[in-house]
Amino acid sequence: MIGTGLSPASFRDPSGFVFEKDGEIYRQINLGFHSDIQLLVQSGLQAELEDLGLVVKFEEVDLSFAASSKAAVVIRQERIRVISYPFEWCFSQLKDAALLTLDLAKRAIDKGLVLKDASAYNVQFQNGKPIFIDTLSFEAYVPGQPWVAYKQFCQHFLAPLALMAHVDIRLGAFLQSNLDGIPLDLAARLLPMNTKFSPGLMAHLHLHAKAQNHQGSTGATKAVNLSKTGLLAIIDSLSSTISNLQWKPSGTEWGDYYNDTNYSEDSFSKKGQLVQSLLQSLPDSVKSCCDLGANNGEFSQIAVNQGLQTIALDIDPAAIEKCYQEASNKGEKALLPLLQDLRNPTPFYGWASRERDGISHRIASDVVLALALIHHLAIGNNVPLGMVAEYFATLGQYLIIEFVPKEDSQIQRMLVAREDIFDAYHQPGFEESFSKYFDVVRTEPIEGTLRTLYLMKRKAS
Amino acid sequence: MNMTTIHHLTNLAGLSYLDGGSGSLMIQVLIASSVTAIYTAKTKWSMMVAAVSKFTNRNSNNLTK
Repeated sequence: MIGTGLSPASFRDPSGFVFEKDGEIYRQINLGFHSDIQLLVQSGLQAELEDLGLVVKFEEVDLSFAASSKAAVVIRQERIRVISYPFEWCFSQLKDAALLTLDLAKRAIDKGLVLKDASAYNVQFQNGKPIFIDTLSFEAYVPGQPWVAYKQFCQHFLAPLALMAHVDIRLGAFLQSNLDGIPLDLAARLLPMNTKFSPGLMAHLHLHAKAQNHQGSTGATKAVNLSKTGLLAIIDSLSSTISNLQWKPSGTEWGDYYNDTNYSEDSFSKKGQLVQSLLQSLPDSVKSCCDLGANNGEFSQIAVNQGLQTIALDIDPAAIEKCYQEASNKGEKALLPLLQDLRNPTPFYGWASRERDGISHRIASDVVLALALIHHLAIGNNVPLGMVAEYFATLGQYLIIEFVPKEDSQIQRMLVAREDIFDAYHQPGFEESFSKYFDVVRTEPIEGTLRTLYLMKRKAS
Repeated sequence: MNMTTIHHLTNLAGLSYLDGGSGSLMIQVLIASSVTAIYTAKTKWSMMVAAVSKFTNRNSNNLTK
């Protein structure tokens, strides 16, 4: 047995758990549960799914790697570079994760297995695509048994997607406060009447919610028998229902930001060239980038083109949706767009506030981009410049940041309806605040604007 | 109650760590009764299209030889 870092998120399923050792991810399968993983391999399902890039790869390792005496098998799994959570995904990311889960459920049944859970947390994004990470989610299919993960699938995927598509895109955030998905009775109450005319939503959401209430009141458990064809038909119906849910970004605050700035086309292009030049000046050891307030990822793409694994964070669902769709269409592997409100970043949450990691813990990168962002934090959200600098210093060794002076028309517009209480917001104040945490490496004025780009390096602590 | 049913209940109650919800398990039978026919028709149609496509491809390949 070896010393381990047990994953605080891996405790619900008694069949095993995840742990980390020397930077590698392992999964222990406990005694009495190893027949399912044997079936997963022997049926050829694992090989099929690996070949299609739908699940993480794994290899069996010696039992001396076990984290406890209950181990029957220990496997080493492919590591996911950045862990993200369902409420941090845009509509299409959640939809793609849902369709992946259903695809796996169908393929599993064809091979004599079944998905025993359908949590959205079992899906991650790697190389631009959703990938299933929970090897222990497969178990032998028992003929006649209904899908035990049906309720979980509907709560984790169908309900949030239906609410996002039919009510308001921001309702995806409900997934943060509801760790096991959105309760179906709540979703059914919030959805408009016309969703009852969609056969899929009527069946899997409205009727399903009513069935839960009814059975919940009687507490009766009845024997149910569902044929294999019936089970496949339900999965097919869910798949059609999810595929029919659509959301098109329009009319949001940030989605058209680049069409609504004070940059001329030439200045915007110059800014891109400067960012590229600053990124090129970084040492070869810089491999990853986090673009804060990335909008639709236009500058994130510059980092990607420099060979950096890049995370694009933005508060706007429309911007992240566009970023994800464009990256998907191009087959971009190095870009991960995520929804994030930097004024209120995802905290540690779940059981004992340790089950799920905060965003700052997950996105730390070699270089951080903060372009056209500082005024939104310092003036739009009243965060003192020193606190912004302190936080950014926790996220990366290098920082490329754009200072926007108060004379800039964007800030003038922000101050139209409020008093200017930001006496300390000026370029010398900015430099003084950031110099506590960073050394300035290079300064570049952006031609045709009043703005300045800085390349900074975090001070050795 | 026959052995198969006992096995189902044992499996659902004992081995699955997830609460599938009795209402959620039962509603699947009801929904399956309405979607199975559509699913079967779709599957058969796909098989037929695949067979026709295979047949026409073979013929066109023969003609080009």
